[in-house]
Amino acid sequence: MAVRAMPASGAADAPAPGAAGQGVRVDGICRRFDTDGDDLLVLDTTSFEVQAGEFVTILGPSGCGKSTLFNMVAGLLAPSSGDIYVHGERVTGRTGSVSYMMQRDLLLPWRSVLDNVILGMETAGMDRKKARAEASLLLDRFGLGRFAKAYPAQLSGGMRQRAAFIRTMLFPRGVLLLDEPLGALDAQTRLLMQEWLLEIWGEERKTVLFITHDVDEAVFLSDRVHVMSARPGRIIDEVKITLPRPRSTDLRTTPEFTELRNRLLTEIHRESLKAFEQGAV
Amino acid sequence: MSPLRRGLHLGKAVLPASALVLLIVGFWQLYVKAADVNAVILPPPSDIVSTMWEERSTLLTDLWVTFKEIALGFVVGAVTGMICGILIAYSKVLERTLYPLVIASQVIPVFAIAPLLIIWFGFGITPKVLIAALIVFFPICVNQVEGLRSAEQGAVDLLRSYGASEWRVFRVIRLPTSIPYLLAGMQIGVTFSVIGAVIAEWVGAQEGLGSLMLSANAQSETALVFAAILTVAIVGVTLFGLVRVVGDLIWPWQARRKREST
Repeated sequence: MAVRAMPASGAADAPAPGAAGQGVRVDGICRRFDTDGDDLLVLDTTSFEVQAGEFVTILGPSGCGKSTLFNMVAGLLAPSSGDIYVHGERVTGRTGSVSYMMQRDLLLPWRSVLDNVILGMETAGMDRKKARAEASLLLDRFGLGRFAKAYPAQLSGGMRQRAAFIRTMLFPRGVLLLDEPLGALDAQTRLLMQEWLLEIWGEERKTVLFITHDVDEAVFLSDRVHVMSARPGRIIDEVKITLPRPRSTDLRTTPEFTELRNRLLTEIHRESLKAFEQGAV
Repeated sequence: MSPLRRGLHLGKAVLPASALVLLIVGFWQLYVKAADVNAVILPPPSDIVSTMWEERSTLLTDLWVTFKEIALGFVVGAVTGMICGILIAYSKVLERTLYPLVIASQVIPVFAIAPLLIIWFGFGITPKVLIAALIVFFPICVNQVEGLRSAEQGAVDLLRSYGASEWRVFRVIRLPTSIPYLLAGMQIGVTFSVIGAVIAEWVGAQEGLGSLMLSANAQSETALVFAAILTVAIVGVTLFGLVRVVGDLIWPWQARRKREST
């Protein structure tokens, strides 16, 4: 596939993780919400960086402000303070600089799969015909070619999620925000989708910022995992996942995997317990 | 689905209703003949059908008049209803000022203001079109507002995250979401507009099916009254079906889903 235009920095030739350039920088952002006169701190001062081409996961208990964080990176929500940079450019409160995938597939039921996956390209001002041609190629390559003319209601949950992911890939930006994209799937489909996702990511090496509360998923997919605390959310640990790539499902039973998994499980259990006591769950 | 299977499907759908109508008409015919009911009180269905044939040119002339009132009223009511719906859905000020009035206006029976409209606009087509339009306006306006509001927030956020303008969100998500609501409003509206036009003619008109009903009634031509009623009913059902067919053509997605789920 043709290399797409990416704003600033030298991320264009898909470098290995951590090799060159900055993908996303979150610089001291925090967010308060005013609910019924109560000032609620949802996200405490948070800073981190994602290198271009890196796969970074935010792991945290329910209600810790993960989705709030993503809404701010996507520009849908302004932070109460702090700044966000994408490829070195300040994008605080500005939409259109990253490709966002939310928990639900959000496919438009009146559009065919093909016309759904070009939604981002279309919004970016690309010619419809050209967008369709490019999307068809990608659908073919990732096993959805047969369904290009189908409507979302005719697809299974896994297929819909794949279409949503392809839509995210096709929006011509170098950074993907994936907010629990596999959360709604059953356990078996979820494992297969993790491998499918890695396969595609391995080919394009876009910068990925991923949210999950599934520890196995975080370890299996990521280069680095940031653990977030219960509300008010902040990053309390950073774990480097040094497992070799490309990764296959055999990896899940190795001692290295188990060790990382146990460490993260302990942390996330402690924070979930706090969230539970706060009544957030 | 093949045209043949669709036809069979449609046949199955209208069969029970047709059977019921035939049963009632048959019973009516037998009762009137057996009990020797005066035709001025209740003519047998066979008389109504023959009157329809004999008076076909009168009926067609009046039908054309009433049809023009309905069609114009529907278009005027639908267009203003859609525009008001969009404005109300997008403007907090209009939502607080105009929307309560639109809803409150439904408490006033439109037929009560029909005589006023005759006083203001005379016996021509204008008051009939206005009455029909007023009736069509409400279901379309309310459904347009509801339809625009029922757009999925997640999908709106997704499109905004791509950097889409509010205009694009309207075109790509809100308007398409509102189309099934709008079509439902139009189906209700078109049926009501038939009633509106006929009643407006009762209040003051020299031509049209409503005025024909009144004059036939005055001359005790009961069969002609029934013939006019039947014609009005046929018009109403035809327009209802027409809105539905046109809706399925411009918005096939909805129809396809309905067919697949059955």
